[in-house]
Amino acid sequence: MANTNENSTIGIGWYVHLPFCRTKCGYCDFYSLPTVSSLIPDLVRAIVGEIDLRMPNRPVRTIFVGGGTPTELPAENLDELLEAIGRMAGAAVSEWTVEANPSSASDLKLDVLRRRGVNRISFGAQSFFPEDLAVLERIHDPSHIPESIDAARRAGFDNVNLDLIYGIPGQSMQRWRESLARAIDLGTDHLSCYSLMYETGTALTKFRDQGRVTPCDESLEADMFEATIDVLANAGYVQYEISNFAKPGRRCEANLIYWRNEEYLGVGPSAVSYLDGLRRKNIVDVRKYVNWMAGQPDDLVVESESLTPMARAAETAIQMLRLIEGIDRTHFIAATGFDPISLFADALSETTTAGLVEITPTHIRLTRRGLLLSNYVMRAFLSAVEDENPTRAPTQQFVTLQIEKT
Amino acid sequence: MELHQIRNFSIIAHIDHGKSTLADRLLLTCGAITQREFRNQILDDMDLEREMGITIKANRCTLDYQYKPAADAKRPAKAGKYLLNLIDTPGHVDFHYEVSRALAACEGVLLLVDAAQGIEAQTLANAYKAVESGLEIIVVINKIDLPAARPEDVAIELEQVLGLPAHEAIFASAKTGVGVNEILAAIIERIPAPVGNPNGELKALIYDAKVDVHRGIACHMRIIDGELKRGDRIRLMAAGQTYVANDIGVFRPKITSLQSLKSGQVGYLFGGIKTIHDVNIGDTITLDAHPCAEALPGYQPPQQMVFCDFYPGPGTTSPELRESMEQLWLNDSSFNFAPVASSALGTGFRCGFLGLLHMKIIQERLERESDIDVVQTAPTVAFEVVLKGGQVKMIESPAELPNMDKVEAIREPYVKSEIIVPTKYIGAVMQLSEERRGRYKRTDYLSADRVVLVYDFPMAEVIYDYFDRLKSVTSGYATMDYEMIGFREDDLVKLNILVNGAPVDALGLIVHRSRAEYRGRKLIARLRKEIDRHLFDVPIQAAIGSRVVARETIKALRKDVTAKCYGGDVSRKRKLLEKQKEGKKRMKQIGSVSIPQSAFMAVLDSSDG
Ligand SMILES: Nc1nc2c(ncn2[C@@H]2O[C@H](COP(=O)(O)OP(=O)(O)OP(=O)(O)O)[C@@H](O)[C@H]2O)c(=O)[nH]1
Ligand code: SF4
Ligand SMILES: [Mg+2]
Repeated sequence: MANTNENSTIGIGWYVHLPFCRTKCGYCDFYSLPTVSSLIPDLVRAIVGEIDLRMPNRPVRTIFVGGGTPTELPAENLDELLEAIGRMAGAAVSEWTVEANPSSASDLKLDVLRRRGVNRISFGAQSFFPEDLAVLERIHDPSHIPESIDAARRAGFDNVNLDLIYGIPGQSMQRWRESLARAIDLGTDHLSCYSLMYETGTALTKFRDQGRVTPCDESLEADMFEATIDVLANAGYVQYEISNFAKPGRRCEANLIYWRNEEYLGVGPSAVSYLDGLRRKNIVDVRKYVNWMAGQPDDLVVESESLTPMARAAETAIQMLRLIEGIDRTHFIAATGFDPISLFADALSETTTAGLVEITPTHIRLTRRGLLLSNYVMRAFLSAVEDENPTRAPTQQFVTLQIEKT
Repeated sequence: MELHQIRNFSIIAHIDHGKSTLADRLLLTCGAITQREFRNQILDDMDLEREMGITIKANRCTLDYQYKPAADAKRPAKAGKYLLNLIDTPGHVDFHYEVSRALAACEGVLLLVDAAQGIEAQTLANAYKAVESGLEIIVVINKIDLPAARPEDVAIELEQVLGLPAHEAIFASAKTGVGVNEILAAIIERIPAPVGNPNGELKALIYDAKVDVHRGIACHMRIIDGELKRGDRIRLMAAGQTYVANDIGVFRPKITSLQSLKSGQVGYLFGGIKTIHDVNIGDTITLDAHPCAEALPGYQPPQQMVFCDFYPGPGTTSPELRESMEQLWLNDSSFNFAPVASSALGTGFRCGFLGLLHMKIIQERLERESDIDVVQTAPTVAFEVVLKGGQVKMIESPAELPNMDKVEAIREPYVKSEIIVPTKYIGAVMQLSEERRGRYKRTDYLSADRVVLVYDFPMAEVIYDYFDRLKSVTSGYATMDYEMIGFREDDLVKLNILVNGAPVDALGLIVHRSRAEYRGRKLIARLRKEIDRHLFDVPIQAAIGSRVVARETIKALRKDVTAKCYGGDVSRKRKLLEKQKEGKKRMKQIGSVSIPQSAFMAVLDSSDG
């Protein structure tokens, strides 16, 4: 399975959600919980069953197994699951990623991954400093990071990603630069560098609200973001999305599907799918999820939203704006039926005047300053669609949301 | 019922000294309510009164009392059945006019004093009113059940300050009922029966009016002379209108119809009167066919002292606000309003209130009774502006101030204030009063350790933060009363607030030059916290004319990014951005700067920090 043309848009993505982690990190708002070993066999069975039931008759271009921590599964369960996924997905898969934690990927499991066809591995490294890892409540030790990368290389992975976080309370610019330097030294193929987000409901957010944790200064965070872009560019990484950087040929195809608002199947508890203009979310609770086969297929769905053409255009625009190349005009017209230049005319005039957006003959994209203020730009784009004049979309409702099950 | 069997009295006191609780006791003892109907402060029937635990409107009730003189009674009256007309009054300084109105319908008062707290500012203010009106004063030292009660000391203080004999004071507890019979006996024995001519032409004083949702306007009146019978055609002398007295009667405490009301009685009248504004409180009711020769002197209308603008808040339109205000105004004539336009906030209303509490109450009632949102500007006083030609103009908002080169002088309202405070805080209060431009008059000793400090103050300082600061520098011990004494010229200036270079009319102030910088600094420090960052630096300045006295800058926004957005997050993210966008839309645009409504409210907050 070689990497094919990165711009290929044939086929869909699959996303598989495994919700177990060894412990819950304080900042994390993914659906994840400490491993419940007794549920694992049923979970594997339920996921395989869900794929079997729901897989559309379309070629599969990418697979992303995330979570949670997929490598928390014992090797034999992991093997069973990956074998089934690989078999059902077929031969068109060009990129298959599995997420792992630096302390959870044994040689044995790495071999299982490779044997079943996984060709990309993503480690949640976050930082090379114990102080930062402590604030994030991560369980691994910085020394685990090079160890697991070595192990992955030995197992034959030639496409390794590290997730890193900046803007951690107490983190200095110096320390962030140091983490970046170590990641570069390790020869990582891809880096996702996120600024720390305070998601509602997380322990970290609670600590912040109680004043027990002081968030990073906004201006330092902005400096860190800009430093990231410059440091990684010098080291030969190309920024292709707000938070993502890749060596040539190593962009993450699975994630590009999201940012281009293309279609994907999501399976597992809490997973979201986007197929045939319908966005739906699976039942969240893993205990309920493992039993779905005992009930009706519909029991799997907790939310479904069918996007109107206008809503689809809006979402496509804000997703594509995340890409450094921006909104590919031709692609956008083909995907949504709207010409972005006229659809977003007002927003474009505002944001280009403010120096946040630039228009090239083929693309609409964020400027460097626009990258830092992308939410501002996206709000402007959403306004343009909402204040839609009737001649452009005579009968469209902006969004219809039906909660079918809760 | 003959005149000599009637007693009309009010209960007056400082706030929270137990007036309404004593009224409960009297109602219960006289059988106006049963134990089963009993609830605390039963006469406080407004939701807001019950929630806040304070009386806002005076309330009345007629009681039957079977009197038998005690064996040792010094001035026994004739045993038998008496009719007692009680009025429970509010204690708060904003509602003094309610007390004045009530007193005009009485021959005596129960002056209640909390046995633990002693004399407070409104004790004195209300007692003076009773003295001026020539009413009999029965001193009741209340709350003697409290461990900290020191009724003897308080009685002596009252004797020293007001000349009310200590040995006549009644020690009571409205809570336990101790002393209530003694109070009732004193009402009969010491308060004079009303005087009037039962056979003369009808002459009745309207001392209050209230809206009854079912029957329209009820005039609360006291019959001075003559008799009013159901069905009589009556005339309101000042208003010049005639009505038919469809329903008359008394409050027990529910309205209870009667065929007639006679000289000395207190009761109500429904006559198909449409709005509360058709009734002048203080007007005289007489018979259309046989009018009395001369109307009663009537009252001074309540004086609005505090002004602010109300604008429609998010989700409320100007017509909705107007309608709600009119609705409330029909129920409550104590505030006034007129349309006003602000470039920052749109179309709203300039409103006048009796004081800050009154302002808060009206705003609260508007919002809850009509379910609307109100944005309120900072309260201000009215100013007298003397123009170059000598002409004098009243303005109720800084925005109305004419161009300064047309202005000769600005005069601001002053109040005379009495501050009661333990001696150990004298220094702190004097220092604060100095800072707030108070002019010291004198110190009166209430006792060895409590004094009355008398100051003249600009009303503007009182409503800005004087009162809050006073409470804080005296650990809550000081109480204060004030009354308007007139306008005085001073070095007053207009302080403009500029956001990104543009003046925001709704934030402008008129302040004393010496206080301009302090006020400006505080105001813009608050604004700075309220206004979101923009794509550019937003300077906020406070300026007198072209001279900037305080300045802050809201630094440009550098980073507003959602770091992560994958498949599962797309619609959540879109919705989040849409919500933020909605928030932005609700803001007021001043030039290219968006100011949230909350900013206009935040500047009302005068507290430190
Ligand atoms: N211990 C004790 N508490 C009392 C007594 N009388 C009243 N109180 C309490 O004092 C508080 C104030 O009583 P109110 O009757 O509402 O006072 P008020 O004078 O009508 O107050 P305003 O109408 O706000 O001026 C309430 O909490 C009462 O329960 C008393 O005799 N003893
Ligand atoms: S390991 Fe990852 S998925 Fe699990 S709790 Fe931590 S951040 Fe969340
Ligand atoms: Mg009361």
